[in-house]
Amino acid sequence: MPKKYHIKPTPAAPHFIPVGRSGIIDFEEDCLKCTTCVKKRCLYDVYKNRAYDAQTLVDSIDHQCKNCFSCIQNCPRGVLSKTINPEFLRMGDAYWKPDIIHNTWFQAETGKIPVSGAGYRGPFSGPGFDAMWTDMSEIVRPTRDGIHGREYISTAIDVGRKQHHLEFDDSGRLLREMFPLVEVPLPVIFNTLPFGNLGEGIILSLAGAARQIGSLMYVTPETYGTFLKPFKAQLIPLLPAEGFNPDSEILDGVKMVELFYTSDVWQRIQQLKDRDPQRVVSVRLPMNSEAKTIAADLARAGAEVIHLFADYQGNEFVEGDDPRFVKEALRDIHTHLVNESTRDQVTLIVSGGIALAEHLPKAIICGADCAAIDLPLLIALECRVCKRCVAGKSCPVKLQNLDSEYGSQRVVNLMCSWWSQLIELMGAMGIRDVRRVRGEVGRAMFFEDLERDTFGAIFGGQK
Amino acid sequence: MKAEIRKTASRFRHTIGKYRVQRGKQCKSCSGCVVACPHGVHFKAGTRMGTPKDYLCVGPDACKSQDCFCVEKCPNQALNVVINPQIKALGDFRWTADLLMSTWYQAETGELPTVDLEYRTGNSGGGFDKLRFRFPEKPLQAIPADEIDTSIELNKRGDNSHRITIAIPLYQGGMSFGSVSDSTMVSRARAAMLWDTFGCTGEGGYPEFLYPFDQQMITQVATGLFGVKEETIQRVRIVEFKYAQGAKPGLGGHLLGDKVTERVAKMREAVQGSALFSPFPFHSVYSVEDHKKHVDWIKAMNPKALVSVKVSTPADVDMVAIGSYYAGAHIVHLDGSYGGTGAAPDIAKKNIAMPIEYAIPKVHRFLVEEGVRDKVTLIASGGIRTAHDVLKAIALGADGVVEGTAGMVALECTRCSSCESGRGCPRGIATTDPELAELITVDWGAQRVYNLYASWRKQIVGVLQQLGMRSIRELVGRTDCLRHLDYN
Amino acid sequence: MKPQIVIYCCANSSTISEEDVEKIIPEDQAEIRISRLPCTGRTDVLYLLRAIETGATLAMIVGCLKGQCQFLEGNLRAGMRVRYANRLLAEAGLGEDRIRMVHIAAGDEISFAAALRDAVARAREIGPWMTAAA
Repeated sequence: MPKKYHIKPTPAAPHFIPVGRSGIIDFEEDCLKCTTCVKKRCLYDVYKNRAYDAQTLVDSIDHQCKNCFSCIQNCPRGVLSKTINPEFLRMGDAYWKPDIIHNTWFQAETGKIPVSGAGYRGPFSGPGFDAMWTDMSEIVRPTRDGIHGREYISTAIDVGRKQHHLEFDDSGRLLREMFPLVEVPLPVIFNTLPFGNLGEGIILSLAGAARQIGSLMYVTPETYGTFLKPFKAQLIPLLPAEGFNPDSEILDGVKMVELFYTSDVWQRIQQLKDRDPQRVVSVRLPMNSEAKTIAADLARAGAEVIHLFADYQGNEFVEGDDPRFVKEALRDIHTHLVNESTRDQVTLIVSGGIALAEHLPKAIICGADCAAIDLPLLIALECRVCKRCVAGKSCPVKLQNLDSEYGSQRVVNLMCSWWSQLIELMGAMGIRDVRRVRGEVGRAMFFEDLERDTFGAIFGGQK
Repeated sequence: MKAEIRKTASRFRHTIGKYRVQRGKQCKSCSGCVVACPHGVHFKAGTRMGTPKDYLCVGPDACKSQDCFCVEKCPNQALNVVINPQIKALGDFRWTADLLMSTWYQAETGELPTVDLEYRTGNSGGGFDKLRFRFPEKPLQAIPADEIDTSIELNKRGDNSHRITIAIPLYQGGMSFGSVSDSTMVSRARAAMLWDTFGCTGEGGYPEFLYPFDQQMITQVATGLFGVKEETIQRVRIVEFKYAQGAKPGLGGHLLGDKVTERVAKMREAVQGSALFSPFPFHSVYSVEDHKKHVDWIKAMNPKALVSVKVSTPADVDMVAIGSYYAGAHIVHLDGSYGGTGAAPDIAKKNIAMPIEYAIPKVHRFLVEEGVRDKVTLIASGGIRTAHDVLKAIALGADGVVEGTAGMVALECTRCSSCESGRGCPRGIATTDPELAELITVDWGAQRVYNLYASWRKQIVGVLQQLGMRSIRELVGRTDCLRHLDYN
Repeated sequence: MKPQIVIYCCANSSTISEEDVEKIIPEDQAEIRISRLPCTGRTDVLYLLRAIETGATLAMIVGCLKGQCQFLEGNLRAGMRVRYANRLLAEAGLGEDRIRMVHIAAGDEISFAAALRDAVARAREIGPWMTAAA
């Protein structure tokens, strides 16, 4: 029996004191020095574990504090107080919010599924993936108990073109060879980074992590170096539109290659196939107003893999104020291919705006076979999405000096947590194979539909 | 113990309030502020002034308009009143700092806060927080408050099982032995008894200290079957099947290792220190017929017990509801996705199953269409935070609600979400650690929850008066009394 | 010898970064390290002394204008601690006024630049404590 897939997490504490959500203020001048000081009674030993960090010149109280307010409420002189940390609120941007960054740091540190007490703290719904809930099974159909290993839930996908049917000759031999496939044990691969690619340490961290979990990683001629040769089985070279070279050294020994969509894309694909027919070829297509037609044409003409990408905040590349979010565009293109009866044969990869573990099953429900992620990987390496690197300034967490063994472990932890959460959601849905989740919009609930069917039915039209 | 509202202050030295009243060194202890302030913020302690009770302060604007602003009245300019910066670190979108503080106030006094705190809605931007009541200009009939009936009937099937009426349209959600402290369980149970409603043991077994409350207790049969014995089923008048829980639909209960103490392990017939993850689903129930078998099993052991079926809110929640009715349930209890929990994966709390506001009208409409609505008691839970949430849930189609987190907040929960790990709750609520559990005494706890329910009942009566209704039962499904801020 | 300066700034008033500082004081003139706090009320006398102990010539706390601390008195407390820490340093014979507090409105780059230049000049004057104690 084949060995069951597993990702092994190893705790990896941050090298830089994380930006905490709140800050404890201590007006020690008024302190009465009580014998049973509230600081000593802190349940989480926050004050006892206080340690000065000479690198950042601050101490560690703030991010260890659990916000129970007990010390603040009990101190006789009211010496202790709390506030929200303005630096926390400033982290990230409109899409990559501080909570996403905190959440990712936790997973990268522990490899665990974030579990907490009390109910949900967030808004009722929101834009993008937040406007979507996944379904669960109850009584009339069973769930799957995958997370504690009681039932096997498969997260493996095959990337490549699928045969629609088999054809045999008179002697029972297959008329044509099967299309090549690359098996990936979880539906996540590592995309190129939109910014923050500050050095070898980062690329090596990602390559090492990809190898540990059996996934794949994109490289470009800019990020490639001979130091990546040991990882060729993990690499997907992304060939540029300008200066396309089908004999590039970067292609040596890889199982899959991707090229940007151009008007002569089929000639290029043919050149790559001529040199190695067993190498899967993927086409990278930006999500814009033409993407649907081009994707349909590619699928009909025999494309193996199409990689649809949005910008790093999940928006389509269209002019004007209202670009669609990646999930809407993806649903549109997926459904179109279904209607054309070409969807099953081609693999769709999606990227852009995949920020949290829950976005993975949601993106798959909306029609992707696989997601390529970017910023979560960087955030796992302690990035704060401050974008100083974009402006040519220095990195507060010195990513250019990243140790790749540490970096790999952080990314492996993140992937372990995402994979476990994928299984949790699939188990709740009652689905045992991630390939069955693809396009299963019936197992999701969309905000617009629920609003219309519930409040629309009661109150009529929206303002 | 006579049931009445009694002022029950915080166990902590400082209650967190909206305003901060600062007194400087210029103070000459003249007590002028004591005279000026009608809210009891200032007081003299011996020869000096005591630390101001700033959580009672109603703020500068209110006092300026009434010419009793202590800052202006102080002859030495020793006082200052500002917004308390701590509240920025308190609360979240659902339980905002205002909701937390106003619930603490109601638990202390049984009255609505005098401070300008938002006590009706949170900041979640959808669902209950976007619904408002549509009051007529003048109610059709002016009904005195003491003539308004807030009771609901739990057995509408009219069969041979117990006929149970509860005095207020709510009962308590199950919090298992092992997830919360003994004093929390007993406090809640006592408050439920004083209000002639029900508490619930949760899925962790039926501890001895709850035996005195048998007649007002619901016991839970959940997927781990912890502590489910013939003897416990026969103790009670209502048995609840916990098929799922809103906070983590599709997943079983989580009790992490540190909270499985010796007593908990004994009750659950498990191993001390070993984490307990209840399986999901009931491995003996894979169809409605299996579910009927389950119901029949309970009825065989306790023929007169009411059966409640607690379910999450999947897309086909209406089918689940009708199936439960036909299997013999008296109560269909929908637990929405934003409800509380002792421990759940964050991803499940946010993403799985629908919020209760969508599920209630869906199930209500379906049961009406199927012609059985008047035979089912529909109970809603999962994010019921205030008396206004209770009213809105009923107006959307429920008969009543179950509350969980609100009762904990009455016991001074701050929603720090650290219930699940280590020694558990630093406030003494969600913990089995013997030292921490002593932080709550039952007299204090029971009174706090009692006071909160009293305040809620007053608000419910007030809204019914404005709507011209004599009974809470008239509000069921009356969506015409609601308006939604996003709709015309 | 290049003076070493440590800056503690409150997250409310400053978005000061290393580059901004370098524009005011080029790297060859002084070595400057920045530490961000949720409020200057978070400063600790011990950590101020540690900063000096581990080689800083001078430490500067940048806080909100008086009356604008989001914490009401955080910046006032910081001021008290700075005075206390200076007294301790003076008693130990390590020089006067190695630690200073300035109050600057949020985003006021001009005042910040002026304060920084002043601090560097002062740091040059007093020199590192290791020579002072000798």
